[in-house]
Amino acid sequence: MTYLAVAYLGMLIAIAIWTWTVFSRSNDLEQRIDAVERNIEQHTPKSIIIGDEDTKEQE
Amino acid sequence: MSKRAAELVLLVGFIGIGITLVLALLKAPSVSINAFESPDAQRIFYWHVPAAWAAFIAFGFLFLGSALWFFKRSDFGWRMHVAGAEAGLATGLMTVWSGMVWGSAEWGVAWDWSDVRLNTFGLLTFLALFLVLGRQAQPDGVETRDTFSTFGLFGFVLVPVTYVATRLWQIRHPGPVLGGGDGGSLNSEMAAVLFFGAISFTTFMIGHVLMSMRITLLEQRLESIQEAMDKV
Repeated sequence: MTYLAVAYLGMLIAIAIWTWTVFSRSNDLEQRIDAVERNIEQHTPKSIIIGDEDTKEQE
Repeated sequence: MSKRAAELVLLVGFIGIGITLVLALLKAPSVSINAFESPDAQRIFYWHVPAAWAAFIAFGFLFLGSALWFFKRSDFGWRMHVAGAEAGLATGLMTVWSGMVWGSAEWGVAWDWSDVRLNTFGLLTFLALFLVLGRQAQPDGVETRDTFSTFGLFGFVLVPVTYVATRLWQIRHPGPVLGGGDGGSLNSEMAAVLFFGAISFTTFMIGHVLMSMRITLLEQRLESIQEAMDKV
């Protein structure tokens, strides 16, 4: 029973790490996008608009 | 679906998987000691079968996403392909790992290379691994998506083959306990734990698909912003 509990716990820990990685990737990407967008707002002329899905440039 | 909802579904699924572990070890009834070499190891069945069930659904998402991209050029389809591959890899590895633990205890070997179901399911998991690693190694583009979608489309053939493998060529992997044609061999308590596990793993897999689709969308958005910045 002990080896089975260890195997189960090992799998649960592995899934926990995997799940944490999914959350972490999502949060990391959101932070990067926020940082890039903040940077663009500060340094780009207002005549250039960057869209979400289809990137558009207006002169 | 919002980010919070996707996170909640994934978290609920994960908690359900943890509860399945407790139920399998403490609540599920013991099996006949004469029927198995290692009766305690049989409890891994409550993890292994739901994980395989969830993996099959994830490979279904992979197939559907691949078809949507390949025939309709749908970005949504491509995100579903990516999410199906990632969720299929997660649940496929859980299935393979739990099966190997049981095989070691029951058969004395972790893997039997002569068993059809083991090998077809192993190939499916390797396909998911190839798609996940391959996408990360290649630049995103129509050719890359077409190549991986083709693997997703043709690889799905292994799902029905794996499903019927123990019915057609039962070698070492046990036959079906549900839907096997003999009315099943589970009592109500066993079936309840198995059902709870199936719901939990399915919820986890759906949460994973939703989160992965969102992550791919964010990656595409970041890439488009960076491309726009390069043009400025």
